[in-house]
Amino acid sequence: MNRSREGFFVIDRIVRFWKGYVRIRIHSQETERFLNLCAKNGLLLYWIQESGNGCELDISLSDFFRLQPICRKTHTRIHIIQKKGMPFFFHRNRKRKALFVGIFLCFALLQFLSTRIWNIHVEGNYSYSTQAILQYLEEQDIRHGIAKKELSCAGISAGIREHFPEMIWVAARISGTRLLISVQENMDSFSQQEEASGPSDLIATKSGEIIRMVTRQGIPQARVGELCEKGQVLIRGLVDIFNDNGELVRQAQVPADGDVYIKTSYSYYKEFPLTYQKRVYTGKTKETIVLQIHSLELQAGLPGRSFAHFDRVGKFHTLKLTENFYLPVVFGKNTIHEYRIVRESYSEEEAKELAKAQILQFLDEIMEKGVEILENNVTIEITKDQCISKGTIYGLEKTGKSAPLSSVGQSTTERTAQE
Amino acid sequence: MKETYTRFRKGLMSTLEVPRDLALQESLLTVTGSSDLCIENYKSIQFYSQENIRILTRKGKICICGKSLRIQYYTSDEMGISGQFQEIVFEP
Repeated sequence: MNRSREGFFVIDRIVRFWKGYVRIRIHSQETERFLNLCAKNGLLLYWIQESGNGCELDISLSDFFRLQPICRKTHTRIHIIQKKGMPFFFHRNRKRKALFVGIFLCFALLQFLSTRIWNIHVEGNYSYSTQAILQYLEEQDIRHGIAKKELSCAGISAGIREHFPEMIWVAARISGTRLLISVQENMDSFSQQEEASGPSDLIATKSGEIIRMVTRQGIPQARVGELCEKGQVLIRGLVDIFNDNGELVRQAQVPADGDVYIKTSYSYYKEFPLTYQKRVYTGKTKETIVLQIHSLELQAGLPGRSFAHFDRVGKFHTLKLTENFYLPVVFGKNTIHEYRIVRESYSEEEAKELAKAQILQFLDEIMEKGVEILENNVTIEITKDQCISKGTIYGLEKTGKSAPLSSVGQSTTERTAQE
Repeated sequence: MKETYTRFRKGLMSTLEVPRDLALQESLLTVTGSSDLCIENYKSIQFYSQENIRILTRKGKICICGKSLRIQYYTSDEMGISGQFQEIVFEP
């Protein structure tokens, strides 16, 4: 009950301010009678407070003009103490034309801005980033600040679906000055490898010794243990069809398919000097505040010119109005850390550890490409001022890619599908 | 006779579950803490000062004593009083 009454008071206060009210002081021998007569006549009185030999109270402007008969009846004198509210505000500032023009322009601007889109919100996207979708929209001239009437939600939805085939459902709607785009992606999709639709050969992409070979379709042209060269046909897509008498009836063209694993070698050589320069931070830092507007960069504070060697660490924020509406204003600070260079040298153990780490990094890189490491013959050698790692790494990797059928191939009579 | 009528009226209103403030024209006081008071069903203000407000009701008088008493709003149906209340006395 009290809460609703408080809410009523807030609204009532706004209405009173809008209509205007006055604070008056009444001088009367019959103050209570004056108050009761006001209430009986439907006049609303607020904040009645005793003051000196009278009483002060708030009364709305319209009720104020109805006080005269009551005053006459109760022999009451009235003094206006304060005038409050919009009618008095406008009356006081009636000569300030610029103020009214400003208020009018403010409302006009508000009205104009409310007809435009100031926030583009994308939700439900996983594989496609919000930036990618926003970039597509920008290509379609849909950007922050566009007029709402120029937008077609159905067109946006259809365009996004067409441009991003993985999206199975797109909904665009306008809510106030926001453009809300809800998408749903096909989570079950997988990257389908493009299968050769026409007849083709399978050729080697690298040179090496064939270790393992499984033919699914076509005639193998190489055997396990043989060496193959890059570009050599491994499985041929031309299959001979024989009749019961062993006579060649025809040749069928098929897309060659199979798994061929070859042993490849990687040469490894890396050297580094045993002496190196080490950065020792002195602990002295300086901070500069940076403000960048478009290409104009303003910097406040002392730059690190007094430091001979220094590292600069920047932390910047781009100003944005709404969720994805970034302004070309970047602000932040640069922290400059001074350091001095000290020449140091690796011990034999340290150098070996570093070399091992480099080798492991190289192995990780080639394993990421799907290579299985078979043999590692890299040796670490430490000379007077160098650490040299060199050797060969043998790996097992899958090879083979589809290529158009070669016109002249090996005689099909020499090898059959059974082989 | 009058007592019998009053008892009958009270019993009837109780049976019909009509609120007492409507049925018997009793005043309704809502006090929030010791600084806020709302009164309904009264006739008029008999006396007002910062320390004392006496309100005339159909069943007697209500005297509110305290400090810095102010009337927040005053209409013929309802009035709100704020200040530091010390006592509320019901006088016959």
